[in-house]
Amino acid sequence: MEATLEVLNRLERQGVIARYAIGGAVGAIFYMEPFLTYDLDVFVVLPETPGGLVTLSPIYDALRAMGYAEEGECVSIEGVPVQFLPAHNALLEEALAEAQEMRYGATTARVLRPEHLAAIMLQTGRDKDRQRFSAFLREATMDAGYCDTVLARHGLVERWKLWQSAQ
Amino acid sequence: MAVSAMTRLVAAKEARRLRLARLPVEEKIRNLVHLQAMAAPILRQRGRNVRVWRIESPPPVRREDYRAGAGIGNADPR
Repeated sequence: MEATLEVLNRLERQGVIARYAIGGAVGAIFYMEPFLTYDLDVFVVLPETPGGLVTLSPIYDALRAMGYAEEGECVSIEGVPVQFLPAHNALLEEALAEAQEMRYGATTARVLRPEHLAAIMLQTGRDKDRQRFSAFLREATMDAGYCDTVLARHGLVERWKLWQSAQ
Repeated sequence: MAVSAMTRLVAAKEARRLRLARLPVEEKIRNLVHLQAMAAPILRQRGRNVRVWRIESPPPVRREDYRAGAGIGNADPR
């Protein structure tokens, strides 16, 4: 996966993406025990376009030029299917802005903070998010104060209480 | 089974999960690829199109798992 991360870092250096961070299942695995997933979800902030249109085309074009093929909604980068997801709401924008650099082998990767990953699970609210949420709370080390502020800012306190009480 | 034995087992399971969570991320990703290889044949039988990651320092995954995913992107077996 190191080679995949180097490609993501290169895309950012080249300005194809303004900022990226790993989220989803692989983001969670940085903080908890591994569990099954086949995709690497990468949240991105795209450079501003003159018309204000948000499109992933520049990423796909740049990757195609590097020889990486599209596979449905993913692009296979160095053997890993990567799904690019634009930050489409305030929580994701904040999560990307505050994501942290983490070492992976000889390279670095930007990964969402655990507090934001938990908040995104709450906000997304699918069955699999709920299952993952309870394990994530047990295993990930989170800053409780920071987590509280994130939840309050994005209107997730009530759902947090509901999900915690159901465990 | 006595309640105390059951409690010990549950605690041991929880401790193992925490140990796994504290592994270096590179090790966790290697474990993930093992999981992918184990689950892929079952998922494919159910009609899901999944592909085992081909990452550097690959774990000893059976070649047929790579072959089954070949034809998509750069999934050549090493």
